[in-house]
Amino acid sequence: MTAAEIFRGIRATFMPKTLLFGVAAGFAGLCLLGRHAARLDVHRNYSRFTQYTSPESKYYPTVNEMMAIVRSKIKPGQILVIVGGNSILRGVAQLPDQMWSKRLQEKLGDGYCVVNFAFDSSLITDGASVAAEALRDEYPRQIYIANAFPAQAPTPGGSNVYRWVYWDAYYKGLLMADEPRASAIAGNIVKYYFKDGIQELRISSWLDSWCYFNDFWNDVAYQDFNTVWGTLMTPGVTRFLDPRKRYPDPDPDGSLFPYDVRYPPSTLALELVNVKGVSMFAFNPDPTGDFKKDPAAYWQVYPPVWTLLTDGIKDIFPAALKKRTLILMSGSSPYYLRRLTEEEQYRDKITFEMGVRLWKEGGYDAIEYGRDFTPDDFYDRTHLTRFGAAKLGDLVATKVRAMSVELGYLPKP
Amino acid sequence: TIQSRAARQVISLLVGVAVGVFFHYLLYRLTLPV
Repeated sequence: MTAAEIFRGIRATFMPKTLLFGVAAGFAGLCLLGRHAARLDVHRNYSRFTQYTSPESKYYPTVNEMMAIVRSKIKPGQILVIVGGNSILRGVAQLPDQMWSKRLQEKLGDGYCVVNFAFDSSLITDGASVAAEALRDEYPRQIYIANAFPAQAPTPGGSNVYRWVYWDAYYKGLLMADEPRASAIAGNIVKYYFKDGIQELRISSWLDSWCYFNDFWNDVAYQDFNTVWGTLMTPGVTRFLDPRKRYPDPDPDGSLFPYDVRYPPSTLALELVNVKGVSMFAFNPDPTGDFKKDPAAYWQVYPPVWTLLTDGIKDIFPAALKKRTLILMSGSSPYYLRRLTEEEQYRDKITFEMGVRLWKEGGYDAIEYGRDFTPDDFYDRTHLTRFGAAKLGDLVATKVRAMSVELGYLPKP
Repeated sequence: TIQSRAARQVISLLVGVAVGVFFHYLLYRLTLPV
């Protein structure tokens, strides 16, 4: 039998119009099922996104997925507290039961619903902030929490890794129309670093707004069987085809690790550079000044760093969403801080104070944490153990209650 | 023999649906970021 005969046989078997109808029906059927999947919460007993349910292993939760998690967790009358930010707020080095956001929920009580959407290396404007904004009409009594370093300028529209959530929500019409933010994003995505891949992302997000393939196949990957390989997948820990819901939450209890692992002597010099780096470009020493006599006059503000911050703060969120946003300034472990010179410690302190002040002047609320913590409270330079998680949960609970009164969510006591 | 018109229609429809599902999955896979 020749190839031509085989081809003729296949052509004789299939009926072209029926075949094309089947293709259209199969495709359209999944588009409709995707819209249905977008409203389902598949993450039963959700506590956080793990490394196996995040881009670190090529799983990209959609904005609808996050909204569905909130809808299934929140009870009528509760104030919604959405946690964003990076690995510190995701609770790296804390078991699910030790997470700082779990402590926050316990401290706040039944009047609040705390949902943690933080991702590793995520920024203030990434996924969680988009989910909170998309839920603004459904749950107007909401508080959004994220963290940053004091002189770190925010990125409009999200970081390169996590901005898919912004464009996902944008093309599904879930975001507020905000001209200043749109201009800031348009100005940002043409820059060298940010323009890489943006066209493909926008096209795929637009296609997804019609076809809902991300919602449908994420649903399949999480519930039924996984089809996407990621570099973190480890034989013996994960089985490739297993649904992601069977993958473990790999974060250990960091407080059980000895100090040699948490604060290795081999990286001391490098980590001290990181700790100094938080403030070293924010203030310059006055060459004629005397730190001992007048420490406040010794450190001179370096304006370009702070101008970047104040300019960035202005346009990252619509004005209506700023006042319900709490920015946490993440401090470094005292294990390293106390190894700085007296001048450097003072510079670190005033940098955090200035960061908090500028975020507040920009219309947000902000607090710093970590300066009065102990080395035991930290897993490493920046992540918290269960001890630090408990302290942070207590601190933020007090602040969230105060914000709830200021925002009019609760009556004045 | 059961080359019958009805069977050809069913086969065509099922294969068509499978191809449509595959295209939908292909969109998902091809648009996943690096």
